[in-house]
Amino acid sequence: MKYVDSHEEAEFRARVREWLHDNIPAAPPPDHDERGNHYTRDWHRELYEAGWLGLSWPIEHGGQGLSPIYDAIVNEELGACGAPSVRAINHLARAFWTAGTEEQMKRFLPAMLRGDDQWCQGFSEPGAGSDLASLKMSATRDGELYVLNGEKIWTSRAQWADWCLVLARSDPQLPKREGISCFAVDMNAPGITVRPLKQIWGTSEFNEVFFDDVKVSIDCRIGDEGAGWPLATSVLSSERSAADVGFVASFRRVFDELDTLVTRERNLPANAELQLETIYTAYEACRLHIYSTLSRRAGGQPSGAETSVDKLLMNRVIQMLGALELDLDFVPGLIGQRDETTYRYLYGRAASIYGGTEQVQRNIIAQRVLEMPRGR
Amino acid sequence: MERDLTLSESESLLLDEALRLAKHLGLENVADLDVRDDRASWQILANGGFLGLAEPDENGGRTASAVDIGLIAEAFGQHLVPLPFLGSVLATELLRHAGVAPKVVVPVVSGQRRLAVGLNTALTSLATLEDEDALVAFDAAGADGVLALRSQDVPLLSIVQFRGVAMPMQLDLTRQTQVIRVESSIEMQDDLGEIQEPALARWTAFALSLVCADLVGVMQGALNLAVQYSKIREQFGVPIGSFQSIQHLCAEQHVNVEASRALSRYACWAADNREVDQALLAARTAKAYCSSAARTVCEAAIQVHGGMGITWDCMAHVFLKRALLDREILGNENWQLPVVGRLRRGAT
Repeated sequence: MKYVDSHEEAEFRARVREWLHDNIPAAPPPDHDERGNHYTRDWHRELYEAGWLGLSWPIEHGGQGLSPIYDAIVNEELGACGAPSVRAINHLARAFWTAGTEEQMKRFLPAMLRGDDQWCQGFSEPGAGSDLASLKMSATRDGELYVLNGEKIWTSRAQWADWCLVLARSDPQLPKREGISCFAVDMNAPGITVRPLKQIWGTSEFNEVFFDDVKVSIDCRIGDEGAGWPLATSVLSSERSAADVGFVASFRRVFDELDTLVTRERNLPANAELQLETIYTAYEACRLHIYSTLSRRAGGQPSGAETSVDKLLMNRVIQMLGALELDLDFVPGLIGQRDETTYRYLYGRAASIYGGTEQVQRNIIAQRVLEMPRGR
Repeated sequence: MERDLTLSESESLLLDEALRLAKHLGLENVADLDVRDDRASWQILANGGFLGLAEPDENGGRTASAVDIGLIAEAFGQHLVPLPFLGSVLATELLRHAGVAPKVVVPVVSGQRRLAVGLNTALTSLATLEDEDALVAFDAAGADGVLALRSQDVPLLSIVQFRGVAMPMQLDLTRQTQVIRVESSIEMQDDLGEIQEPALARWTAFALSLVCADLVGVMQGALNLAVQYSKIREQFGVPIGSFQSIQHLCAEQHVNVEASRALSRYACWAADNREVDQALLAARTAKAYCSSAARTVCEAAIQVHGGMGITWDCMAHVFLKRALLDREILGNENWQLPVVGRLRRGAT
């Protein structure tokens, strides 16, 4: 085990830090709306141009062929200096690396990495949330085309996306996990309607997406027909990855704010300090666990159920931070003087739902790690 | 070599070997407590070199890394090895820091003589003789000497030979503590050497990290026990492990164990590789978390067993009780958290 950067990693980290120091956007991200999306896309492109994105991607897909540790270093530095985060795309690319053809990878991946093509993920449906494999959207083969019909939901940023990674049922006769195929769908194709859903914090990040006779060319099917389910599982487990390190680093800023508050304020709830230190220990546990998951991946092990542990540890930290903010500093938000705290608290409620609910993560751990018997 | 938080090949091999040995020396059921041959087992540890891990090498450094020793402690905790391994390693490490002569160290690492470490009666720190009416020898099965400090300009490490008294059964069934009255139980006392403040802090970081490693093992053992039981025990015609209520309870404990392991292994690494303040912060952070998590995990293990879980014959209580002693050694979570805050803010 080795918990410090190698010489090369330390040099790389110093260069990232210096660059961020000079280039961090002066204006904070605007609201979580279309302007926010533009802002994030521009930031993504700027980071890519400077050579800080896709470090672990193969060179032929626009990356630099390095260890995922380098992606983690960039994310960690982004989070630590309070820079806007970048959207995770590695898990979407994972679908192509797992089952895509060389032609598909050349066609889609470099544009995804540059930030020219923005992607969304069309997995959940109104009737298929935690029970994702029961999804109903149909993909009917018609010569060199598939015709897609159905409805997706919780599709983040679909209203701004160029492409969507879609799971659909290509054979309704087969058992539910065997009849699913995976497609890259052009969001500008005729027959697609996007309807934004308003979240509890007031803006619209996710959407309903309706597919009405949407034609998809056969060369946009990723993997074999009927091979979509294992692909989806792999995408979902790698949804938690190097990006998490940055996510966790960004908790640190919230933590530091609360730390300052606790040090400065006098009239605090009696247990505020203990709560704060408890959060610190949970934060450290989360950070170290994510790094060990990442090390396993850097060592070539595929991501598995341990990413569910990372997810649950992150939820704990986010929600503990939210709870302490409620206790210490919530009134300015309530009386309309500061939206940030209320946003963070409310977003914390989403953390244990998106990317698979906390209950689904526990099912995964119980069944795949602890090998407990499936219920009926 | 790049940053790598996975075990190296040699660390993995060591862990496998330690787990094999621990299974052999450990407890599988409560009846094993009555038939164990403590001396033969101790000699196996000595012959295998496990007692010499903290022995000073020719340069005064430690023979094995804290990470390696921690892996062994994890394995011994997981299988409830009822031997004073931790006590012995912590004592040897103190002797090393004080530069004590081989004539004291060699009998300890060869298994001929057992030493323990003396804590204050609250179990929160190494005892200073002048400050205490009594000290508590931790993990003192078979020990006739205990190490404690004497208050001088530079603290002195002292060895105290005590009159052992037969102890009533204690809560932790796998290890023993011995209360030594300073007035009446001390037979002889020898100063061994000076031990400087930074070395004491180093020792504390090392000791806390290893207690955490034992806790991680104990948690893992308790969780394994509960999961195994849930696959066998049937109610409503199915194994109870197929119910989500049981699955989620166990999954949460897996998260607790893995988080504790991440902290404990880092603390062990930091004990050898970080500046002393950082090492202490890592160790106290780990101890706060592991102390609390271990209690939760062991209590859950009892819960999964239902009525069986509160019977003497079910091993769940043996795990809980070992965890409860570890929890207090050098301070439980309530003790650690405020100190973590001070260390984090750079105060000493």
